[in-house]
Formats: sequence, C-alpha cells, structure tokens
Amino acid sequence: MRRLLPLLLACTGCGGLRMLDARGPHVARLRSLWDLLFLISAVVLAGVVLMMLGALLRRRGGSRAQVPEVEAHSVPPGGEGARPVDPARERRMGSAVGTAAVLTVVLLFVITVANASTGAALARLRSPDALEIQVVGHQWWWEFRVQDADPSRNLVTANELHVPVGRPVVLKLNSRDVIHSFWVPELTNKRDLIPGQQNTLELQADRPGVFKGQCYEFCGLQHAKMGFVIVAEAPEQFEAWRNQQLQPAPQPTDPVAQRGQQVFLQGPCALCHAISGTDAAASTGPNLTHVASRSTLAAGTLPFDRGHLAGWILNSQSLKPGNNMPALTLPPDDLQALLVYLESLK
Amino acid sequence: MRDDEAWERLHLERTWGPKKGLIGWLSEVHHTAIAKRYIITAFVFFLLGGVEALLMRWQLSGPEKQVMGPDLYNQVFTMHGSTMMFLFAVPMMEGVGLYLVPLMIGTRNAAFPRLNAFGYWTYLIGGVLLYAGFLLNVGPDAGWFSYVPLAGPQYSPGKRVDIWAQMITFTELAGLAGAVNLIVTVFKHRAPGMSLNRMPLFVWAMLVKSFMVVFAMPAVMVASTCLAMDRLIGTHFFNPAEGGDALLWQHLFWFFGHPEVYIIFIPALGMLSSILAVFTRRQVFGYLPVVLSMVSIGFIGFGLWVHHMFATGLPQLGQSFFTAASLMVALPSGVQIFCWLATLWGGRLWMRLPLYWVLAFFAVFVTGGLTGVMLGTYSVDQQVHDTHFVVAHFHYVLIGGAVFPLFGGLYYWFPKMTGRMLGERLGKWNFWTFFIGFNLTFFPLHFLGMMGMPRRVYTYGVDRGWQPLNLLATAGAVIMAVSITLLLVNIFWSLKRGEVAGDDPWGADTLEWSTTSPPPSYNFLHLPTVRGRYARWTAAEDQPVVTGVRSDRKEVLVTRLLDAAPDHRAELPGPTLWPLWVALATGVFFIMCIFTPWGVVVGGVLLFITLTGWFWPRPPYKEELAPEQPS
Amino acid sequence: MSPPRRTLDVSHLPTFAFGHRDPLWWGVTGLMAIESTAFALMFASYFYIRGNFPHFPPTALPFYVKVLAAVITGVMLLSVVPIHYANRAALKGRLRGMRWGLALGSLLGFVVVALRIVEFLWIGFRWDTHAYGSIFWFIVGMHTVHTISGSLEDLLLLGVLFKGPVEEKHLVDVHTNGRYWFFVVASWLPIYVILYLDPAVLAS
Repeated sequence: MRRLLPLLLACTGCGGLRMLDARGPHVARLRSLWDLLFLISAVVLAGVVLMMLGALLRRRGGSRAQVPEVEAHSVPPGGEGARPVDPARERRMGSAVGTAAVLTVVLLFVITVANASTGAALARLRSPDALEIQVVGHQWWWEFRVQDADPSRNLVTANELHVPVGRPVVLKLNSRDVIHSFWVPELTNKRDLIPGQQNTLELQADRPGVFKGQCYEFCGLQHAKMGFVIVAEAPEQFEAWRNQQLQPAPQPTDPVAQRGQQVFLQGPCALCHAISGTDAAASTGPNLTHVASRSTLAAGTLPFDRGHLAGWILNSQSLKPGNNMPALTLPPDDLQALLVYLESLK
Repeated sequence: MRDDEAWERLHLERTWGPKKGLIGWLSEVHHTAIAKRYIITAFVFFLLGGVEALLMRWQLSGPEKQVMGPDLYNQVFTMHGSTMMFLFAVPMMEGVGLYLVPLMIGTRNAAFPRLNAFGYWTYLIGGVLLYAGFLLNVGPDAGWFSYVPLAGPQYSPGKRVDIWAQMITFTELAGLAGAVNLIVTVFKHRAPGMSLNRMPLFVWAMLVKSFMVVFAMPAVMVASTCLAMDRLIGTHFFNPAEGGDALLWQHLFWFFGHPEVYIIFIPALGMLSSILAVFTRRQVFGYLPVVLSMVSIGFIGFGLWVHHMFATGLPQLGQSFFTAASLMVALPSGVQIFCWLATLWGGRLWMRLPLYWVLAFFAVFVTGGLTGVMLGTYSVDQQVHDTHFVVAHFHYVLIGGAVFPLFGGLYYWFPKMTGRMLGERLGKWNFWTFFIGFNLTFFPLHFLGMMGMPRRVYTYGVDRGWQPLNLLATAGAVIMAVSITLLLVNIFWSLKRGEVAGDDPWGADTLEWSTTSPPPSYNFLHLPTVRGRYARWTAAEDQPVVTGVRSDRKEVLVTRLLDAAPDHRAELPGPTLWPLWVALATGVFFIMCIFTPWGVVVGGVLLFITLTGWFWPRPPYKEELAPEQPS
Repeated sequence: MSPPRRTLDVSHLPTFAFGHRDPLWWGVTGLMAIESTAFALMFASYFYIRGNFPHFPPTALPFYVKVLAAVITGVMLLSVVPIHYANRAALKGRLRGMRWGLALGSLLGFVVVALRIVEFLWIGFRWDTHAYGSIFWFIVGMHTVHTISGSLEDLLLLGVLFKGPVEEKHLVDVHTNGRYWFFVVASWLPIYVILYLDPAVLAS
C-alpha cells in the first residue's frame, strides 16, 4: 500500500511524492512519522466510514410518522409526541462512545510522543562541524553564501547551490525584503526567511542528485517563479565546485567577449549585478561571477542557454512579469558581445 | 381559527408588520428579514468566490497557462479567500443563526433589532467595497492573510491592501454586532421552561460561536487597524527597522484566524445536530458530551493559533506546546463524531436530502480532521506547510465541515423560510455531483502538495509533473460548478413550483416548526413554553402558552438566564432608518481613512450625529414614565 | 391545532429591570468583553514590541508627562464619584441626582481629554517615530476615543433628562451608561500601570 500509491502516481506521468522520497537522514526520520500518521488516519477514517455505512444499512425506513424517541423522563405524560429510548441500547452506545474516546486519547498520545521524538531526533542530527550556508531571500531569487572558517573563502552565488554528500549542512536563513520560505522536499523540512530574524535549517544529502526547491511563502507577483536547485555531489566534486566558484571571473581574451564586458560594465547591468574581478559589485540582483556554470536563469524560470539568455536580457518582463530587472534595448552587436561574455563566465 | 385568535393575529400583524415601500424595506429590523438578506447576500458572495475558484482552477489546469497574468491571479486568489472567509462563511452562519435562533427559543425578535440592521448594512458596505475595488483594478493581492512586510507600505504601494483592511473592519464590526445580539437573545429571551440544559444543540452551537466571535474578532480588527495605520500615517508596528515585528502580524492574525475556522464550523455542527435528530427520529445521543465538546472546542480553539506558524522558526518548546494543544482539539471533535455516529446507529434513518449531506459530512470532514492532526503535528507541518496539501486539508474541513451541513440545512430549513419544499430529484443530482466533484477537486491536491506544489502560485513549470492531477482537480471543479447550478435551478424552481410545505413537513422537534412557513412578522401567535429538550416532541398535550404580553406594542418576554423563568416584559424598537445612517457614517469613516486620516474626524462627527439620532427618544413615548419628570 | 387550554400569564410582570436582568446590561457586557480583548491584545503587542528594543524605552517620557499621567489617573478615579451618584439616583428615579452626576461626570471626562491633549503635545515622540511610539499612541489614543465617546454619551443622556419625557427605560440607560464609564476608568488603570509605571519607563 505504501509503495503502491507513489508507484501509481509515477505511472500516470506525475512526479513522485517527493516528500516521501527521502534522500537524507532528516526526511527519512520525517518519513517514519508520516507513515505512522498515515496508518492511523487510514484506520480511523475507515472505522468512521464503516460505522456510518453500518448504521445506514442497519435501520432505515424511518419517516415523519415514526414517533421520535427521547429520554424517558421527558416523554410527555399522556401525549403521543415521543416514546422513551431503550435504556439498554443507550448504555451500550455509551460504552462504545467511551471506548472510542479513550482510544482517541491513546492515539493522540502516541502521535504527540512520536512527533516529539522525531523533533528530538532531528535536533540530534545537528552537528558542530556542519557546513554553514547563508541563504538570503529576495523578490524573486535566492542568494547563497557558502561560509568558511577562512572568511576569504566565503563565496556568493545565486539560485544554484552545491552541497557535499554525507556532510551536515546548516542553512542560516534571512530575507532582504518580504517573507519567503525554503523547502526541498527530498532533503529538508521547511523554514521561513523573515526580515529582521535569522532562522536555521539543517539538511544533509546521502546520495548525489539534483533537487528542485522553491519559495513556499507567498511573496508577491513572482512567488511562482522563485525556484532554486540543490546539487548534491561527492565531497571532492563539491570542493572543486567551491574552488572554482571562489575564483574571480576570468578576464576575457576574445575581443568579442571583451566588448561584451564593456557593455556589461558601462551599461545598466552593473547597477544591479556583481562580477568579481571587475568593477561591478552591486548586490541588488544575483551575483553573476559564474553565471554560466548554473543550469537555469532567473531563479529556475528558464534553462541557461544563449537563446533564453538573449530573451531574458531583452524582454525579461514578458518571461517573468513584474520581476525587478528592467527591459533593456541593446544594439544587436552589443547583445551578441554581451551574450558571449556572459557565457564565458563559467 | 377562533375569532379572538384571528383578532389577535390582526393585532400582532399591525404591531410587528413591516412598513411599506422602499423606506419600509430600508428600515426593516425584524430578524427574519435581516437574516434573509444576510443569507442571500452571503450566497451571492459564495457564487462570486466560486467563479474566482474556477478561474484559478482553469489557470492551473496546465503548466504555463496564460488565462491570467500573475497580477490578476494574485488578486483573484486573494479575493477568493477573503470572500469565502469574510463575506460568505461567517455572514452565512450569522444569517442562519439570526434567522433560526429567535424562532427556536420562542421569541418575537432578536434582543437588539436595530443592531442587527446596522450589522447587515456594514457587512454589505464591506463586501461592496471589496468588489468595487476589484472591478477598478485595486483588488487586494497580498492574500486573505495579508502577511507583512509584503502587505506593508513598502511592498504593496497603492490602495489595494487598504481596501482589504477596511473590508475586514466592516465585516468584523458586523460579526461582532451579530454575536452580541445572538448571545443576549439566547441569554434573555428564551421561552419559559427552556433552561440552559434544554436548549437545542443548534442554539448551543450559535452561542459558542458567538462567544468565539467576541474574543477572536477584536484581534483581526486590532491587526488590520495597525496595518492600515502603518500604510497611511507611517506607524511602525510591523517594520523591523524601527522596532516593529513582522511576526507580530502573524500572531495577531492567527489569534483570530484559527478561532475563525471554528466560528464557521461550530454553527454547522448545530445544523448537523438538528438534522440528525429529526432524520434518525430520536434525540441526539449524549446531549451533555456534545455541548461540552462544543464549549471546549471554543476554548481550545484559542490555544492553537501558532500551528499556522510552525515554519517561522519558533522555539522547539513552543512548537511542542502548540502541537499538543492542536491535537487536544481532536478529542472533543472526536467525541462529537462518536456521539453522532451513535445517534445514527440507534435511530431509524429517514433517508431524505438533509441526511444525505450530513452523512457525506462524516466521510469528508473526518478526512479533513485527520489531515488536520497531521498538520497540527509540527514535524509534518514543516513539510507540507504552504503546499497544496494544506489547500486540500482546509477545503475538506471547511467545505466538509461547514458547507455540507449548510447545504443539508438549506434542504432542511428552506421549507420553513419559503413555505415550499426543495425538489428531491434535482436535490439528489445536486448532492451526488457536489460530492463527487468535491472529492475529485480536492483529493488530488493532497498528492500535489506531497509532490512539492506550493500554494498561491499562478503557474508551474512544464517539467514539474504536476499537470495530470491539476487537470483532474480542474475537472472536479467544473463538476462542482454544475452541481451549484443545479442547486440554483432547484431553488428558483421550488420557490415557484415546489411542493407546499405546511408548518412542519419533517415532524421536527424545535419550536420554529410550530409556526407557519414562512413565519409571520411576529413569529408566534402565542409565545410558547417548553418542558424538555426537543421542545415539540416533549411538549405536553396541554402545554401552556404565554399570555399577558401586549400585542399592541412590540413587547417580548424577558426570562432569566439559567432557568428561563419569566422575569419582565420588554418593548423592542421597531423599523427605523437610523441603523442605515449609522452604517453609512461608519462607511464614510473607514473608506475616507483609506485616503486621509481626516476620515477619523469627518467620520467621527457623522457617527456622533447619527448615533444621537439613533438613541434620541421620540414619540410615541411609553406610558411607563419615571417618577420624576422635567418641568 | 387544538386551542390551548393552559396559559402562563405574565401580565403582572414589570416592564423594565436593572442589572443583569436587563438584556441591555448583557449587551454592554458583550461590548466590554470585546473592548477588553482588544486592549489585552494591544498590551500583548506592546510587550512584543518592547522586546525588540535593546534600550527601552527608545525615547524617554519627559518628567512632566509622567506627572500629567498621574494627574489624569487621579481625575479619572475622581469621576467615578459623580457617576456612581447618578447611578444611585437612577435606581431611585431621582432626576436631580442623575442630572448633577452626569454633568459632573462628563465635565471630568472632558478635563481628562484636555489634559490628554496637553500630554500629546509634550510627549516628545510621535506615532511614526518608532514602533514604541506607534503602540504607545495607539493604546493611549484608543483610550482617549473611549473617554470622548463616554463623555459625549453623558451629555446625550443629560439632554434626554432635560427634554423629557423620561421613561422608565431611561433610568436603566443612565445606569448602564454609568457602568460603561466605570469600564472606561477601569481599563485606564492597566494602561497607566503598563505604559507609565513600567520601571524602565519611570527610570528613563
């Protein structure tokens, strides 16, 4: 039964029930709790519905003419308005209701304990040597800052985060504007990003994989298109990624790319975006130092390729209406150069 | 009919009957008339909210659909939530309560008739304001919960959220007025002999609900006032940069918002209990446990607002406490369900439409209740919070827990309100299409939530794999729309052609069935007395009626709180336009405040003038004068 | 329907009653419950916001405002006397007592409002200065609105008592009005304690 439903859904072409597809110890714990709750719920629901159907099949055929039954002491003297209920039957029903109430208490107690022990188990998974990553929510994109004991090795990226498999990660969540919420169903539970408050959330991936996350607290016009990707990979690959992301952007050597860099730095791009190794250091928009290493554009809205990049630069408002990037008008040559430059930012 | 009885009727009609013409319509204060306006208005808003739901389902039926852009979609889902909660569910329950409670307890009108009228007018102003805003493209777009900072001055410039905030103020004013009115009516106007422990369960439900309104709605009024001030005059309640707090809003909002769910749901429990007794032909099993359950739900309902905030990063201890409280509410809910199941089990079922809806309630509501237990558990909540799982959950609870019993109640009380029965065959079509459509719409949303689909998104990517279930849900929504259309057809058809109901088509137990259908403007020819629960079933053959209440004045009997022994006779006010003027002054006050703080001054002066008009004594004066008079 | 044989005759019952026998008493009790809840939630918000300030209060209350608040509290408490007198007179149906009580009561109410305006002028911060200012002005402002409306209500009843005819139920109205004024005074006391007698505020 537990396996059947997800399977069925997978067959119909739906994505799986990602929340049950645990890829780390946190969600595995939560999965056990879920299974217990699901089982209890299924049994209780079945019980209630069966009781109802039983009653339905048992004694039908009431009608307006049927004299109603009330408590013996309130049956009117001499009247035909009502007759007394059968006290033996009432007693039986009373003990049935009582038993059901006691069972309810027991079940609720079981759930409370299971929930608290799940909470405690999740707390035990906290580790002092966890990799710390600051997550900052923006309307409508994600800023990730992978921290290191050596502050010069803190890196900034956006919308795509790599984490090492097997190592606990602690996310420090904050928001620059409104409330957002962070969830990757296979890896974590959910936590809000609230301005003026720092929240933490732990996650750990057991196996390599690519996981989609997105914002879960309504945050305005483009709440729907505020996605991100978590890439879980072997520790050595993660270190390679980190080292590569820590590099400043390479100085373009190709003249077209050089021109593209000029377009970027002299045009409006640099007012909002940063590319390390250049004069562009603004933080209003996502950091673009290694933008070409990411798989998506505009917080998971579009795949990263030249066509979409061009479309995004020229007409972001029709692709993600209301986002904070203004539409740009660039001569075709400048656009081509800019695209070449951006694509070189691996 | 005997001659003196006819004479009495004539007299009562002259005393209590409405004034004629438009002025008469506007100055109406009788509870049945006001309640009918509440019910019809709320039903219209229900239809509008339903259309908004259909638009959303259309948009979500496939990935990247372009039915609406994000700006319109966000307005539409905000309108849907706000409409269903503030303009449909609460006023509808309020209206049904206002209609039935005075009849069920055997009096001629609500305790404060003019307050009733005032409540209706403010509610109407609030609803019209919201929809006028929507049509002028200033429909609110920050969600029915309007979380700050998104709803604050910085991230929601313009007037959209202000309109939302003032709509809240209007509807909550109306809700509070109605609640106080119901409490006092129940406390002081019950028929002699209807002691508290003989009150119909429906009346208990309305009483509990009204108490919850009194203690819950001030929270959202305080919150929406703070929000409006943050936006209009630059206060910093929710601005973290100046010492305010974004989470303060959530605490205040959910301190109201969670009880709100019970405010909608408990009246439905009352309807359900009424229907169950009549269609199982027996008393509801366990009167006392059911009453105690309702009361304890009323109390516990105030202790679990934080389970809407489990993802905000609260301390673990607080989460455990609120998880325990949230689970605790399952116990009284469970006890009620068990008592009703026992009632079904011990009765002889009369399979008519009201009972159909009640039976469906069991399956649907219990499903929602169980997912509610999951959501009340913070570990699970932190997974499915703000996904479509939650959308599925609360539609199961609110539609299952409130709309199913409400429709059962519609089939049950329609004959009393209109004098005609609703068609049975169309009714069955209506029922089955609704039941099937409902489950098709909302059951798949559980899975979508578990697949990670967030709430309040205007679209989703092609690659997410969410299309098949969304399409299924949309198909279900279309079936529900068909069902509601059938219901409308049934209502309009039955109003003209329905079988004539007579006073009591169901052989029912409560007092409203002892007067004509629809009831006259004075409700009862003779005020009744009561000798047991299930008043009409337990009435003695020569059950006495009350005499000595004057019929040439709008006089009613006031009884004692606990035992409902006669205490004194009180005269109720008659038709007047002042509630309308006061409501309009209130309207000027709050609507002007959207644009300028001077609204407080202008509105305040208007309010003082109109309230003075309301309270100023004018002829005909009563003959009972104080011993000393001004010379 | 067979004609009723037995009746319960209530014609001998009075046509008005004081206290909890009167429906209006319960209506006003409901109003008080609503407003008490609102004030309680404002206090909760106050404490919530208070926790956000490492240095509390962010703006000190000037010494003369503290004195003024004490004076306001005194006048508030004093106003209970004439209103209580009016209530007693209402129970006995004495016109003179009701008039004097209401007149003095509303006079003291307006004195409070006048002092409050002075306080607002002296206080040194505005509602938009910081969140503390917002919640402070909100609570005190809301209470001022209650003081104004309570005093106006006194005047309204005074008008009825002078114009006449004075019906029995007006006696109940005077009594109910008095009770509501007691509520206005009573709700000021926690405000005074929380907003002005807070040790941190006093020391500032």
